[in-house]
Amino acid sequence: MTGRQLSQSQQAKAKQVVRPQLPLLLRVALSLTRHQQEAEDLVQETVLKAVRAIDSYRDGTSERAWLLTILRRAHVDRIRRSQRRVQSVSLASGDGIDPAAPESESAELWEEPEQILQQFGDEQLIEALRSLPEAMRWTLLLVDVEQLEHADAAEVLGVPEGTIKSRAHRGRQMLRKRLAEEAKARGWVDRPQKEVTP
Amino acid sequence: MNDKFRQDREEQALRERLARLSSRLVDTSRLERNLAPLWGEAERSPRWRRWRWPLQIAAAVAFLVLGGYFASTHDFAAGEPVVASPASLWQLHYSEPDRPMAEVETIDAAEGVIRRQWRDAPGLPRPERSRVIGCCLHKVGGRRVASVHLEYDGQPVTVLVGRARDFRHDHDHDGRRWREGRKHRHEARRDRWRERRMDRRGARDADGFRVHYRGEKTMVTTRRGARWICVMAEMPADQLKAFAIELLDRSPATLGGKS
Repeated sequence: MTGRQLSQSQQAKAKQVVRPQLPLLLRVALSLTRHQQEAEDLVQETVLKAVRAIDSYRDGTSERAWLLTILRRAHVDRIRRSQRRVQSVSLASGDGIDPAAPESESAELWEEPEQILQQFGDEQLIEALRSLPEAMRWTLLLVDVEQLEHADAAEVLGVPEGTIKSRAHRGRQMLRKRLAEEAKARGWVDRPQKEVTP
Repeated sequence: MNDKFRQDREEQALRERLARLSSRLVDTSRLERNLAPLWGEAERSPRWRRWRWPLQIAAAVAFLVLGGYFASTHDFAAGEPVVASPASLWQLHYSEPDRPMAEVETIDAAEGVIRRQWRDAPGLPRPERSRVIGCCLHKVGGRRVASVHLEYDGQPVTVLVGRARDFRHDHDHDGRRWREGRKHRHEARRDRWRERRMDRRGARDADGFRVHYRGEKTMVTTRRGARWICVMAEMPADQLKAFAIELLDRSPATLGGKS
């Protein structure tokens, strides 16, 4: 579909709704993929789908949630198309939290968490996010990184709001565990920290 | 500090750190360009960029056209004058019938044909009692010469005209003209006398004649003004010299001039 096939009002609406969100879409896409080109392709596909369905967007609702829903579906479609084996939890099946996980996700508490977290660069954090299961990664991306309301994140992921809250909490613990391992490996944590189990 | 408090503090720190990821700058310029048509905007590229390829092609074509034009109208090979060897000049005379030649009947027509290919061609001599057969362009030692073919006393005559600065006009050290061929003493004396006579007439442009002959083949070369002229035919030397003198008396003295 090209711009010529849209009416002027549709073009104006697409420009008003979609265009301002390009940085958000690209940022999320970059957190999901490893390459700029791949991320741009994903965003482009998302935007094309959004523009095709621009009439279904209801004024007054969250355009971010609407666009991120399309982006998530496009991402899942791409994964399916490429027949990549996704080891993370399926987004379609419940909250996907492994019951055995709490024992395995124990972490040591940091004395000065702010200082340690400061030492992580953006790319390191994103890499740690990528290592999380899909459901956790999406939840943290939407809720903590992009600061979406729980209701909007629930709409994007197609799960109840409560699930978002629990996933967010659980995802942070898993992420902190990954970061703790990294900090330890890099020698940023000098003395043994107290281990806690969430 | 209890564990619950520390866990909450850590979680809060993590949330704050994650929130800062949203302030990452991302480059959407390529996306903007690709998607601009969707919202009815032309691709945002500088004007020069849209014209870049057409401009480059136009510049290349202009370069080729101008280069070809200058190459065809100027002799860029001009540098040090060259020696036109008698052998190469004779070759031109004898191979003329086999070479592509423009058939013309007058010197004006011959000049017109030659100047279409060599704009700055020197003016051609204007023979009075000979028939013009044709003309063409040659290169001798990399220098261009205009060639006119005449018939004089029933004999084919080739007249080559080039630029004087392109050809060396060798003289021997005592000023006598170089010549070739074994002659009897009286013949040599007679020729020297005739040459001196010709030199007096030819000395009007401060240049003498150079006569080269072998048997009946005779070649006379000279410079007149800015022109280098060579006349070749199978006829006695004195007859060709007389023809050359007659020819040069009626020829323009300046480069590119007309009589």
